[in-house]
Amino acid sequence: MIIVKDLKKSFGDLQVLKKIDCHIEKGECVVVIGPSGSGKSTFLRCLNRLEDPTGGEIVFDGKNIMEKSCDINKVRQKLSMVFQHFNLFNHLTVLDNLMLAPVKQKLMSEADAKNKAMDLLERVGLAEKADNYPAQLSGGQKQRVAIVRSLMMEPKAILFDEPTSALDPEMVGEVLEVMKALARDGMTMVVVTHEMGFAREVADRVIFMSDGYITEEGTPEQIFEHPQQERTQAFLSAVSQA
Amino acid sequence: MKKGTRRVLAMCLACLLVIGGMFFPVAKTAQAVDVVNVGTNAEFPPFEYINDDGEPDGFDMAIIKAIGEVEGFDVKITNMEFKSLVASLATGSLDAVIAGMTVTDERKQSVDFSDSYYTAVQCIVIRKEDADEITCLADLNGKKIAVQEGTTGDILCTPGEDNDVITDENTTVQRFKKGTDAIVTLNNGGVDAVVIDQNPAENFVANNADTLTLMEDDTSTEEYAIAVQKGNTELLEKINEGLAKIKEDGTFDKLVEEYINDNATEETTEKGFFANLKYVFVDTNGYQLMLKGLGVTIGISVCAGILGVILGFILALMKLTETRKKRKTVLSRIAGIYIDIIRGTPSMVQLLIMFMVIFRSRYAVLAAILSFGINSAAYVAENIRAGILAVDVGQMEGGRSLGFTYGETMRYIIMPQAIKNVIPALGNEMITLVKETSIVGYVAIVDLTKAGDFIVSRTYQAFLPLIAVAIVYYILIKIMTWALAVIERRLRQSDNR
Repeated sequence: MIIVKDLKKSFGDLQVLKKIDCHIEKGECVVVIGPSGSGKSTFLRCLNRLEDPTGGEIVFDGKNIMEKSCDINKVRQKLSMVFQHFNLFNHLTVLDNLMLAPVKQKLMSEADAKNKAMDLLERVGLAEKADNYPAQLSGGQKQRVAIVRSLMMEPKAILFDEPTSALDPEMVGEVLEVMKALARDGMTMVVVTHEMGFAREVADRVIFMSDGYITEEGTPEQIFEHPQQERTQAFLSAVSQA
Repeated sequence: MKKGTRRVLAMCLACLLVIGGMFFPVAKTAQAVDVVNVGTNAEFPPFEYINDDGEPDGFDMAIIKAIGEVEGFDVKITNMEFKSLVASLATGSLDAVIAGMTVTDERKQSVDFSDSYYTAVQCIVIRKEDADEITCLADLNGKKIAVQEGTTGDILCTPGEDNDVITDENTTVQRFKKGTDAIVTLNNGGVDAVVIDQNPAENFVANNADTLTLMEDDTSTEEYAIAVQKGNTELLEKINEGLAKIKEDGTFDKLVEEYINDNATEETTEKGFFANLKYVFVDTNGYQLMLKGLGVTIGISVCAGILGVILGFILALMKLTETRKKRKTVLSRIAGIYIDIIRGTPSMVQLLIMFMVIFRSRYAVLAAILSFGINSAAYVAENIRAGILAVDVGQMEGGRSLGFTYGETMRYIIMPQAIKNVIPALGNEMITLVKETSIVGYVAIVDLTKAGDFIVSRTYQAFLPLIAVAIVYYILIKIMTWALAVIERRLRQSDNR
């Protein structure tokens, strides 16, 4: 589904991604962990070119999205993203947030979009909030709406950029529940997170990044029970003490 | 993705072309032989003044029209500052000037004069109680004198090498745009004397018979003549010929009788407050003048406001290309220079340049609208840009991540939120704009302020007309403030928790 070859990204003199290679299979849930500053978020944002990579190749669904001829907006319709700070459109109600992109991009009729939105809201338990504005929701509710918004596009894969980092602890669970359900349904997901419990329980594969490289990857069991690299061990022990 | 950018670019270009295009048709059109553009400064009764219908009238107007009649040309009168008259002749935006203008050697270098049509004597107007103290021009040494700017009185009273009467360097000369302002200042005790041509002086004193008196200064007699562009002998000959004809057939004497000798002025009796109110606003048609002026003020403000917002929006988008590309672009540079220049120069100067240089003293209202629109756009652009930048970057990323182009994200997501940020500052700018239009009087537009000004010169009263003008502005702004509050409340709907 997503093939990354020799991905590089620099901000000025600072080289954040040095050389990233990885394959993400269809239906796979990949969790990216690693110390802060290791380039996890940058890696994720390169995948839909919110950051323009400095070099390398990214193939999504058979298309090289680094090519000039590639319409990145078309790619993003099928490669959604969920942000740490939700990025809901503050001037629109929940329902309008969900309907805006599919309707304006003529992917669905207004009626279909509304039905779909109400269906999905029902599934995440927020149907009664349809006419509220984002400012009237809690953080957990906002993030669930944001996930629904990405689902409205009927994406082939979803990128999660630290989806629970900005939430109060008691709200983390409700968001993770929604993500778990998605993974069970076979959605292709790339998740950058600090929720080790989620990684352990849900991930098909865990990628450990440090210093702009993928230094270790494997099943949750391999990474969490038998980490091979010193960096991974140090990171995991630091996290478990917290 | 590039499609959106190109559309915005095309829009900018189109707008620039339209605005640019507006300048060019104004370039001097072929002079029709049968219409003569005559300039005057209608602040010099009885030679020229604004009549009750708001039109320039007076002895000079009647003379030039009579000449036009016998010589077979139409006269189009333009009312402007006295100082601008000679310059406008030189640029060709006027064909002739009749404004009680004295023939001087200095002026002869810039214009050609017709035969003189009137011989004037300068007069000294003083308060009655000073009549013992001031008996001739030399007595004004060291005093405060009011004159009309650029007139003979100004030259006579200003100390300098050529002046052998007023030699005291401590003599203060206050120069007013209008003779009436000088008289009002004299009445208020701000100056000791007003030196001005005989006929307006007699007019003024007749209107203020209780307080003022005048004496002639026999050291200075002068000739009034009609000025034409240097070298325009064809028109000059016509005027001289016409002048001779109307003197011959008695028209001239009739006009002298009608305008100058028949100074029938109203009795200056003490009036009660309400009678005075009626006199100032109703009897002299002051309220009509103010209503017309209010219409002009609103018209200019609305048109300039719309132009300013459209232009400002385009400029803001041009400047924002810099934020998007993270480096300066051609567009952002152009917008930057525009904003820099417009904000760095007074709007008054911009208005004068637009009217006198670009429009060659024609289409004053259009020039004012363009000038204020262009001025306002610079401030609006910065307001809009700040409003857009104040929207969280996450909103742009959220939009882009859903497959919207930059332009679509701007339109559906950023702008609706930016407007909320922009409205208060934009409202402020519009309020400033309305008040700034009060300087259009300088390019001979009768707006609300100028209307008040006219009432002052017609009634010799400053208090009532000016307070009335202030009140009307205040109400106008109050209505705008209220409308803004309503709009803001609506836009803030999504902030309710």
